Amino acid sequence: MAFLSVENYKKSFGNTQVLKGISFSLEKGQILAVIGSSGGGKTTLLRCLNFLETPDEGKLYLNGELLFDADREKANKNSDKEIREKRLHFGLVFQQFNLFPQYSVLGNVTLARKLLAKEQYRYRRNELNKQLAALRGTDKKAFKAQMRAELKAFADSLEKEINEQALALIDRVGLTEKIKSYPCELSGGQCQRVAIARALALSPDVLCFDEPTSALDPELTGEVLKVIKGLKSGDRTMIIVTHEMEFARKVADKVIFISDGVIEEKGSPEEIFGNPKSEKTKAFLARSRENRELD
Amino acid sequence: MDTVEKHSVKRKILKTVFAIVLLVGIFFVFLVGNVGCSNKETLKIGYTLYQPMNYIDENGKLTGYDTEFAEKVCDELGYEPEFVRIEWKNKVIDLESGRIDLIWNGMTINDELKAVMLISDPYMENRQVIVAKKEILSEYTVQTDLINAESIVYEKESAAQTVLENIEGLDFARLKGASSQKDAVVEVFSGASEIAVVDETMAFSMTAEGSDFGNTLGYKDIGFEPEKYGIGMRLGEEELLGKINALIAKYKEDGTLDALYEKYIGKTLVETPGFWAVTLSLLIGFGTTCLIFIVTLGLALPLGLLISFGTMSRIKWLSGLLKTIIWIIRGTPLMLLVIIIYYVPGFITGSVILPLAAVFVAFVINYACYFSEIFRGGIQSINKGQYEAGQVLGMTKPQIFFRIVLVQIIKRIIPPMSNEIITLVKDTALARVILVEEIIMHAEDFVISGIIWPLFYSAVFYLVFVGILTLLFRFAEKKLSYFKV
Ligand SMILES: Nc1ncnc2c1ncn2[C@@H]1O[C@H](COP(=O)(O)OP(=O)(O)OP(=O)(O)O)[C@@H](O)[C@H]1O
Ligand SMILES: [Mg+2]
Repeated sequence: MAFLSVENYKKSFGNTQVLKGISFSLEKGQILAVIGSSGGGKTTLLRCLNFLETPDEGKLYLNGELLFDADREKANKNSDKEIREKRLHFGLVFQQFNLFPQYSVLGNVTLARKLLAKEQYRYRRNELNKQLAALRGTDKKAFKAQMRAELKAFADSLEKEINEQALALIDRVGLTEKIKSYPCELSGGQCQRVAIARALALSPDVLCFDEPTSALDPELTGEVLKVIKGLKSGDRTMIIVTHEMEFARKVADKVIFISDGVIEEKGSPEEIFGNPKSEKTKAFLARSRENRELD
Repeated sequence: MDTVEKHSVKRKILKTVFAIVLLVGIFFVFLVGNVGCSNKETLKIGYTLYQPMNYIDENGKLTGYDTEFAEKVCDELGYEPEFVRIEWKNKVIDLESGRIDLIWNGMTINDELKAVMLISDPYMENRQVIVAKKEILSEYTVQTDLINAESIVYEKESAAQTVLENIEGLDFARLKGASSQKDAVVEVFSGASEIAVVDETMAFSMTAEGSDFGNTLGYKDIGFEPEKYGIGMRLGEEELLGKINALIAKYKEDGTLDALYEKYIGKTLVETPGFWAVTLSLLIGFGTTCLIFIVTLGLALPLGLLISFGTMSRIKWLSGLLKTIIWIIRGTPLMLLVIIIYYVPGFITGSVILPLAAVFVAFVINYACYFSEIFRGGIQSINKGQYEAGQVLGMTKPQIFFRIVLVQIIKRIIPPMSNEIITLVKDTALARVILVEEIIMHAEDFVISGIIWPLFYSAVFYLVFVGILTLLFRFAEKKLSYFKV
C-alpha cells in the first residue's frame, strides 16, 4: 500500500459540491503537484487533508493506518485531542503565510514545539508525582530531590533540542541574520520562508503548500521555490498546489490536474505537461502559457 | 472545524456567564439583606447639609445645631444615632419607606407636613429672608416689593415656597424652584436670578465675611412670618413623640437649647474652611471616586469579555438576549440605570440597598456592555488565518487564544478601550444622584459654607487621574508597537 492514500474525498458547502470524489496515492518522499483553475477545489482539498475541514465522504490512509473515515466520523465524532494528534502528521504552508506577528522569526518556529514540550513535561511530572505518592518517609525525601533534578534536566534538554532544531531550520531557509526580526520587518518572500521553517519544525509526515508564491512579487518567488526544491529528500512527502508550471514540472514526481472538484487527469510531469490527454488540461495549460507570456 | 470542541467551549462559557450572574445576584441580595436588618437600638436621622444645622466641620466631622441636639436626645433615650443623608424633596418617602426614622434638619412645621407625619413641639424659631446683590437690597423692604422682582429662586418644597405662595399678586412665572437652598444662593451669585428666599441661618453663614459670596451678596428680613422648627417622625410613633417632646421641654427649661443656639447660630463670625480642610474633604471624595472606578473596571472587564463571547455564540437565544440587553443599556442614560437599581429593589423587597452597592451594580452592567462591544470588535477583527495556523500546528483552542490572538486583540482594542475608561473616570460623578459622596459632591457641599472654588479645585483631581491613565495607555501602546497586526 502507498504511504499516503486518499480515497473518494467529497466535500460540499451548503448546496455546492466542491470536491466530487478525489482519490490519489503517494509514496514516501514523493512530491505531488496539484494544478487546476481557480475555484476548482485545490485549497479545499488541502484543508481537508489538514483537518481544517471535515470531508463528507471518503477515507484517508497514512502509512497503512486509517487516519480518517467519513462514515466512522459520522457515527462517532473525533475528540479535540484525537484531531490534534492526527493533524500533527500534516503540515500546511498558507498562501498568506499567517505568521504570528507578535513572535520573532525564532519564536514563530519554536512556539508550537514548545507548547508540545510543555505537555510532555507535564506528563512526565505527573508520572513522577504518582511514583512519589507511593513512597514513605526518607525514601520520599530522596526521591523528591532526585525528581527535581530529573525534571530540570528534562526541561533543559527539551529546550536545547527545540532551539537547535529551530536554528538549523532557519539556516536552511537562509534567514539566520533575521532570527530576531518580527514578521512586519520581513519581505513577503522572507515571511514565506519563515512559514516553511515553522511548518517543518513539527516534522510532519506530509507537508502541504497552498500556492506558496502567489502572494509574492514575481522577483521574490524564486527564493521561495528554491527553498521548497531544497527540501526534496528521501523521506519528506510533499503536496504542492501551484500555478508555477515550470516549477511543478521540475520538482514533482506526480501531477494531478483538478477541475470542478474532480481529478481531470493525473500522471507524471512528462505525461501531463508533455502529452496531456484531456481537452480541459490542454486548454488550461495553453491558458497558463499565454498568461506567462503576457507577464 | 471540529464541532465537538466548539460545543464544549460554548458550554463552558455559558456556565461561566451563569456563575457570574449568580454571583452578582448573591452580592446584591447580601447587600439588601445587610441593610434590611437594622439594629433595634439605632435611630436613623435624616438630614441634608445645611449650615448651621447639620454641616461638616474642618475635621470632616458632621456637626451643627441639629446634629448635636439629636445626639443628646438619642443619648438620653438610649438610642444609637445614625445620620442618613437625604434629599429634602424626598424626605416623606424616605420616612415612610423606613430609610430614616426621623427628619431632624430645621424642618418648618406646617399643616401639609402634619398630615403625613408626626411633628414634635417647636424647638427653634426661624424666618425666611431674601438674599440679593448688596446694591439692590435697599429696593426691597416689604413682602409686596417682591412683585417687582425680575426673578425669584427658592428651594422646592421648603418653607420659602410656602411664604412666596402667600404673597398676593406675585407672578408665579417669575418663580424658580432650585433643588437646595445653596443652589438658590448660587443662582443669585451667578446673576441667573435676582432674589433668593432662604432661611436666615443659611443666609447668614453663606454671606459671611470671608466667603466667596460675602463681598457681593447680602441678606435682609422683609417681614416674613416667623416659623417654627420641629422634628418629624412616622405616623403612629406616638410613644417616641412623647419622649422627644418631654426632652424638648426639659432642654428649653434647663438652657441646653439656648447654649446650642449660642454655639452654632448666635456667633457673629463664621469660619470658612481653609485650603487643607477642603483638600482633605476632596481627597475623601476622591477615594470614593477611585473605588467606583476600580470596582467597575475590575468587574466589567471580565464580564464584558463573557458577554462578548455570548453575543458571538451560535446559541441564537443567548446572543439575541445579550444583544437586546446591550441595546437597552447603551440606549439609555447611565444615570437612569443608577436610579432604577437603587430604588426598584426597595419597591419589591421593602428595604433599600446601600447607594454605593447600587452604583457598583449599575456601573458594572453599563460598562460591561460597552466593553463587550469593544471586545467583540477586537476579536472579530483577527484574521481567521491566525486561528488556522495555530490549528495546523497542533495547538489547542486555549493555546491559540492565549498565545496567539489575545495580544493581537489587546493591541487592537487599546485605543477604544482607553477612551471608554477615561469616560468611566468622569461618569463616576453620576453616583451623586443617589447621594454617594464622590468628589464633586464633596466639592459642592462647600457651597453652603460660602465658598465655590472647591468645585474648580476638584477638576485638578480628575485631570491628574486622567493624565496618569493617558500615560499608562501610551506606555501600553508603545510596549506593543514592536509588531503590526
Ligand atoms: N468555506 C466555504 N464556504 C462556502 N464555499 C466555499 C468555502 N470554501 C470554498 N468554497 C467554494 O469552493 C470552491 C472551491 O474553492 P477552493 O478555494 O478550494 O478553490 P481553489 O482551487 O483553491 O481556487 P484558487 O486557485 O482560486 O485558490 C469555490 O467555488 C469556493 O467559492
Ligand atoms: Mg486556493
